[in-house]
Amino acid sequence: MKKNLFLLIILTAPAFLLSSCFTISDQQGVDNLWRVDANVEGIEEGKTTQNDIIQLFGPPSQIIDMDKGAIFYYLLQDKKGSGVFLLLFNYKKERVSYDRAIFFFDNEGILTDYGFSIENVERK
Amino acid sequence: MDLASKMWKGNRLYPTLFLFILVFTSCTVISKDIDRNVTVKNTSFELSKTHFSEVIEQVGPPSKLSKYNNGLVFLYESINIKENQIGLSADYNILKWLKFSYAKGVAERQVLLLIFDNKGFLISQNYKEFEENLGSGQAIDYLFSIESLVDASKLEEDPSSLTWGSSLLKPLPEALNSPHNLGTGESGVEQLGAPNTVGQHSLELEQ
Repeated sequence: MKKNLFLLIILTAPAFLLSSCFTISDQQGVDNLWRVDANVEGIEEGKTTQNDIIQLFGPPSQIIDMDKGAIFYYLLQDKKGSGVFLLLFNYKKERVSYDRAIFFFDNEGILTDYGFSIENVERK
Repeated sequence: MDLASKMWKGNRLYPTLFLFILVFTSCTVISKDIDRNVTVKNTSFELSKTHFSEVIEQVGPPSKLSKYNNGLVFLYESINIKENQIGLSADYNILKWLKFSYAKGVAERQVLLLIFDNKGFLISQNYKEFEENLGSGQAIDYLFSIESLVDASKLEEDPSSLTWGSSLLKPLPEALNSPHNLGTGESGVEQLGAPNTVGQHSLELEQ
């Protein structure tokens, strides 16, 4: 009985001893300050200006020049991943999420529309 | 009678387990979710009545947007890449440190395209769910590694707003073509993975 148990341990040991796991985490883009309630409370369509938005959230990731105004596009990319190495079976999973904020302005630089991603990314 | 024969006769569990560990090593599953938080499924908007502000309120800002014919175009994309690998190894000399892997990959994709007129009202929309075959790959690899063997790099590209600076360091035809980049919001949009032989990319002289 003991011999059998010893053999079983010897045979299965590599699968456990040579196992490892890892995690990946990376964020790229602007700080998602639009998730701070105090920053969004004062935003009002028809009143807030481009300058107000830049002061609140910093320079946008992208400014798109439209014929009738501009769009400020803020983007935060969040990569999270994990993996398990078990010799017999390996597993790696990665998830890329985006937290976005978008602001539309008219020709005079007044906010006409805005919106945020439904699912947010946790700020680091 | 040697030990292996005794084990085989006495109990088949050990040799089977031993063989399994030696031969079928390193079966690997790799998955990657890109922008799964774009909840576009079961979303339908009414033509000529839906304003882009309602769309943003319901599904959030798009993955890509651009001006288009005095109006706007929104593109929402969500991708789930799945890759399964089978690894074989042999307990012989240096071969025991190597594995022979075969991989197959697929991408489950969701795409929603919305086009708005110059007043911001929806004039065209289409939602599509499809599975893209990413092909297969084979490799002789170090035993203790997890590497993707199918090429999904075109689907995994970072948004151009995060990479515009480095785009100027690309090969000359591509760098010269950067003003027509489809990620800037000025020249239209394109789905991830679109081949380089169509549209603006054909100027980049790249296959």
